[in-house]
Amino acid sequence: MSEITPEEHTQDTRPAKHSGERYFGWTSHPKAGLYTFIFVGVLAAGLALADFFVHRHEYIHLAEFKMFYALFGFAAFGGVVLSGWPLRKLLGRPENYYEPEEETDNG
Amino acid sequence: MGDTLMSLLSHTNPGFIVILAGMLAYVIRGEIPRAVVTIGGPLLGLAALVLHSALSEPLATLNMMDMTFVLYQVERVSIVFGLAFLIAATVNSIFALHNKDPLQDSMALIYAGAAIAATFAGDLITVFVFWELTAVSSVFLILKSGTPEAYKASMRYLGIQILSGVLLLMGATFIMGEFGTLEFDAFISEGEGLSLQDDPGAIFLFVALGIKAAFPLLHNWLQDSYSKATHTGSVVLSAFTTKLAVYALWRFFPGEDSLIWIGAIMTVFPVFFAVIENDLRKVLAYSLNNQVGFMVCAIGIGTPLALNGAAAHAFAHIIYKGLLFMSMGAVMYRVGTTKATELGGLYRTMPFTAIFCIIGAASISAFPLFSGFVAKSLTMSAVGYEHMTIIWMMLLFASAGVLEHSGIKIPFFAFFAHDSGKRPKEAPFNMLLAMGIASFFCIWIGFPFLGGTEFLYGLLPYRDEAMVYLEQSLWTTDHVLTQMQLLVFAALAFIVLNRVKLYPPEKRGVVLDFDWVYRRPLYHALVWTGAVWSKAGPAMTGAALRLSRRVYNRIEATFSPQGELSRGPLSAGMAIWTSIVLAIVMVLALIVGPH
Repeated sequence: MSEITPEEHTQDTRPAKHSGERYFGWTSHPKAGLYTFIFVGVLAAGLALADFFVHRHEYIHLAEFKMFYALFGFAAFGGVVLSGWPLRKLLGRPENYYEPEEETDNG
Repeated sequence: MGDTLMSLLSHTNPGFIVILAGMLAYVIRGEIPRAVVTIGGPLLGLAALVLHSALSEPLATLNMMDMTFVLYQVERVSIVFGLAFLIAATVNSIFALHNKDPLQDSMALIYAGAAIAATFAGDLITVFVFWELTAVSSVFLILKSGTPEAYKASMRYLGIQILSGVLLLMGATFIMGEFGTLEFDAFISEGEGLSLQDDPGAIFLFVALGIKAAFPLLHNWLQDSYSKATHTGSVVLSAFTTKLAVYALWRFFPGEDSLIWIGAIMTVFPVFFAVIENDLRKVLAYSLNNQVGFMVCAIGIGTPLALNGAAAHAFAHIIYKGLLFMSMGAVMYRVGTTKATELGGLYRTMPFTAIFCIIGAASISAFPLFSGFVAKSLTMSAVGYEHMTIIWMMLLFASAGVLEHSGIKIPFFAFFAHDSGKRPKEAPFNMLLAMGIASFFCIWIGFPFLGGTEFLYGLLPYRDEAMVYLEQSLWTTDHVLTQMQLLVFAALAFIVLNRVKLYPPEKRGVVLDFDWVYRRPLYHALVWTGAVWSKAGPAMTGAALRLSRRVYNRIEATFSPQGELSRGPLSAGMAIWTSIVLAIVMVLALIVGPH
């Protein structure tokens, strides 16, 4: 079976209202981003607050600080994403970066 | 008859059954009979494993050339890996039912069968044979893409995989010299392995396993080949090679200190590459690196809890990573690409694939109630119990990184994000069924009270320690809370950065990795050497030939029967004198020599 998608696979012939919109249509709502932000923000605040009421058993001393996991998760994720900007400048190349010269050699 | 069949099954390495099914799949041309063989083979292998008659003793041996080859021996740890491989082989066969490609069906099963057979082998030569068979069979899953890039990647893949096998054989040779046998029972036991300091063969073995496990700097074959395999091929590839290496590391090098750092580095560095990679199958390959890092690190720690963690993580990972590759395979099949820049909004017409992808993403991110949480917690706790602060921080960082590339990036850029305008059909039923089965395992293992967690922990090599951990540590409030804090705050970081447009947009292009070294400078050096040789070679060869001809002529002119030394009475006299001197030396030797 070829990896190139056959023409008949590329287009859905069903009506414009797609079945997936029943489950995920809300994600295309103009305010979806804001609502998600509020929902996750409230959830995060609740989890952070819970840290003050739940006694934790830690084997790593650093982790004993209140909200350690919350701050670490936010900082680690943010750091990784922000590192993408300089890394792409440093390591990003055009799509045909390797191929032309290797092709020349083979051809 | 029934008893004979049962007895035969209980003494047959399940891998052999799967390999046989693979061979049959190539010759059977009818679609339904081939489907029966491709799904039935791994299921029969499962039956054979369930029926195995004894633990830790040879169940099938072959005597040849004064050596005993242990073709089938079941250990507790091999059950964990073997069972996961058999489940993966069955699910993969269902996923590929629409393919109608006998060669791919056949090679996928032979590859899976070889990995399973190696898992249940009891000596190094048997492992070597199946180790190489995994390489030779799996390369077809890349080649069958049919593109020039896939062809080149498959040759690079084959080269490095064969090299791994050769190193393994060299290691085996040293071990044979040291221990006089290659049977595992003679030089390793469960939890006790080889020493890199004391066993010379161990170093070769270590590098051989390091190649297959994709250690840092040896990892590029993974991203290179898996992203260029066929849409079903990458699913199959994701399950076996690296996990077979993890299994072998578990058997040969438990508690090897260097693995702690190697594993920790493996968890961290792929995170940075995955964030800027555009090809989502390549992102999954980096993610695979990261996950194997957790297992390698746990093997290095070597405590019963950590070794349980490595095995449990491998079991869960084989299924959820397969599920993620299946979701991207379905996208590849329907859309023809897995590049994030060309995807987005596919949830509209591929909602079930999206749901299954999200289940795989939640599992790999180790959200509570999913399999990754149950498996990875063992390793994290084992590192914590050893008070390895830096290693623990690295693994925690990598856990947040997993959420970035596999938990969010994969489902978000494929199925949501901006609308690409593409409206492909939902994946075929067989693909959805395979993804559904894998999703079931992800939830069954991870959700408390369903019995899956108890099942997995009950399989682990150190069962008692696992059960104590399950009762006292896994589902405690503080454990669930801290994991949720880590993941929810990481998700919040994604939402905030996305809203303030600080998330780097997906961009077409390639990302340079260590393979740049051999695909650019080394490649150019070889091309340059070739060019120089093509010009200087004939001249240098001519000069060397002329020189050697002159030397030969000179020697001939001097020493041949017609040569200068043979002319005249001198040569006869010289012969007489030489004989006399030789006779004197022999007489002296007889007189003064030892009696």
